[in-house]
Amino acid sequence: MANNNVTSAPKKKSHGAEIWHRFKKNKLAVIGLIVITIMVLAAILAPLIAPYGFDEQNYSETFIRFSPKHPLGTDNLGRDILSRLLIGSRVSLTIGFIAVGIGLVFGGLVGAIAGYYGGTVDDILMRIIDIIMAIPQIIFAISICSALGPGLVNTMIAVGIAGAPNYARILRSSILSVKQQEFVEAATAIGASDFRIITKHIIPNSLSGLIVQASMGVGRAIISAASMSFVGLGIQPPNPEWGAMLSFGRTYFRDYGYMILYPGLFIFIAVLSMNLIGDGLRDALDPRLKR
Amino acid sequence: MEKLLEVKDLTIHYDTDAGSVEAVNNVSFELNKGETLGLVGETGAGKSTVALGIMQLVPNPPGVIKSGQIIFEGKDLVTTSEKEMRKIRGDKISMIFQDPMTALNPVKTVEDQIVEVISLHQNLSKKDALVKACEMLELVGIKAERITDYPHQFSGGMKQRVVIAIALACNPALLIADEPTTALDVTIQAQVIEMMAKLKNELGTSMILITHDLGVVAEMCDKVAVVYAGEIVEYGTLEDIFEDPNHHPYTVGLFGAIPDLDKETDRLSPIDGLMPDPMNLPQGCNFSPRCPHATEKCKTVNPCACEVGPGHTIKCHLFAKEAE
Repeated sequence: MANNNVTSAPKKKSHGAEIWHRFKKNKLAVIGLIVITIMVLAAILAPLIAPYGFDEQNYSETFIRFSPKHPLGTDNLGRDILSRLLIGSRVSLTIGFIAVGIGLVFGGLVGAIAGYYGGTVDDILMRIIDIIMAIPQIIFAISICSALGPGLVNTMIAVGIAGAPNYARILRSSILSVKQQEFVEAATAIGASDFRIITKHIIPNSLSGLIVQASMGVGRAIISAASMSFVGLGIQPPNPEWGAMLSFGRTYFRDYGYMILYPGLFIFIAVLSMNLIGDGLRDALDPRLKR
Repeated sequence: MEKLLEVKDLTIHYDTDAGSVEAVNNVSFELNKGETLGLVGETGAGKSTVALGIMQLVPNPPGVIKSGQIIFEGKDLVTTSEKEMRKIRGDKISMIFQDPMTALNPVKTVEDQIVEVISLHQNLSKKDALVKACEMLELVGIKAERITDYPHQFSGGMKQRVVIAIALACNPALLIADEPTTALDVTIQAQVIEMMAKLKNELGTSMILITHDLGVVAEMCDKVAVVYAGEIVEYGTLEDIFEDPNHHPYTVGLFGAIPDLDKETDRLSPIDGLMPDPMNLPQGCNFSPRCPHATEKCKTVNPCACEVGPGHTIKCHLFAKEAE
């Protein structure tokens, strides 16, 4: 070999460190990350920091708009809204993240296989996806949930599976274009297996659309879970959940708008932060957009 | 000299709905250890399909190897299982692709990509593989410290060097270079060619060089096969092709199309006509519709390869007459 004095490899930043370095440069994404971190921490610590219990009723203090004791007011049963929002964030955030996770795994797997192998496999899988997509997402989720029965886990599964076709389609379409590229052929030519080519070469090149979709999906999953609660299949009262609080506050919103304002605001902030993170993550994961 | 690769009567067709595309027909050639074979021909002549055939990477469907053998180190690759082939690709036979801009994965560092081929085929620890990768990079003339860079941070010529480093990382017995310099500008072409020739000699690698640039062939090859419409129309040593007076009319046309520095001409002299549609090859000699010497016989009878000198064969009726 030509040069034998190369004995030690040059120092290298780990992959994660490099992505973090690029992510940090996107100020909005960092803000989103901070907000989500605070929300997650608040959710974890909710039982400790919530001033009241989520089902603590006080009929002498109903419909309070603002008071030092209840900064975000109370609802029709005199329950402290701040406490309910904090406790509710545990359910809402869990549903948001896990439902998207379930959707990503199922949808991503189907999309990746369909896109990579093409032909008959693609036809069969995508027709199944088409059938699922023909059913409105919420009806599909409701039917899964009514088959499995109400509850937190079943809601997550229902919302996750109902969202999976979206991810499948997005990943499939970007894989279709990526797999045409020469580096995939080059990877075959160095003797890499199909599994390795899909996971190491194709998927990292197809992620950007999926990441944006997933970050928006978190918001959508929270809303879907709320609709499930609304028809009585999701989280059962008196357990609080942002979406459920939103829909139950609906009855009173002409006189007491704050009852839907705060849950809505929380959903809005969580979704916005997730979108900002998703955007930043997409850019950070793509080395071509460096600097 | 030891024989490394022998391709016998290789026929590859692409069976599409519209009909069968006869991309490669009865191609035979041999390659000894350390030798370089040039496959020359115009676009669509089937050169790349031959290369993909050797790698067993003909896209299937629609590509099918209809018949023939590809004997590499005593083993017929056509009948080798996909699992076995995976071990051969990148280790024993590796390939340099035409366009370095797209042959590297844009989201992985050069390090990841060189280490990948090493770790797929050699039982090295992570650290040793990295050291080896650095060595390879230095070998192709890129500083080892740039190994953590991404492909887009390199120029086109350097990317092609990286591709070459990946191809040579496992010290393959056979290197297939599919138009390695087509996507590069002329100054870089010269550098890359020079480097490939040097490394080939240093490492004792055999090479199949696919190109349509006769200058590159003259520079690098020991043997030349001129490919036209999926057939080898002329095959011989570099001297046979460049010095011998006997040539296939197509080879004559190819050389005639190169502008001459000493002659002043307003126009280049191309070969008239286009290559026949590989879905609908003419009866008789494939070149007959464009051949200035075509006779009635050429239009009906497909000529066989005639030996005009030791190891120099021409697939043309003109020379069959001489032999008679």
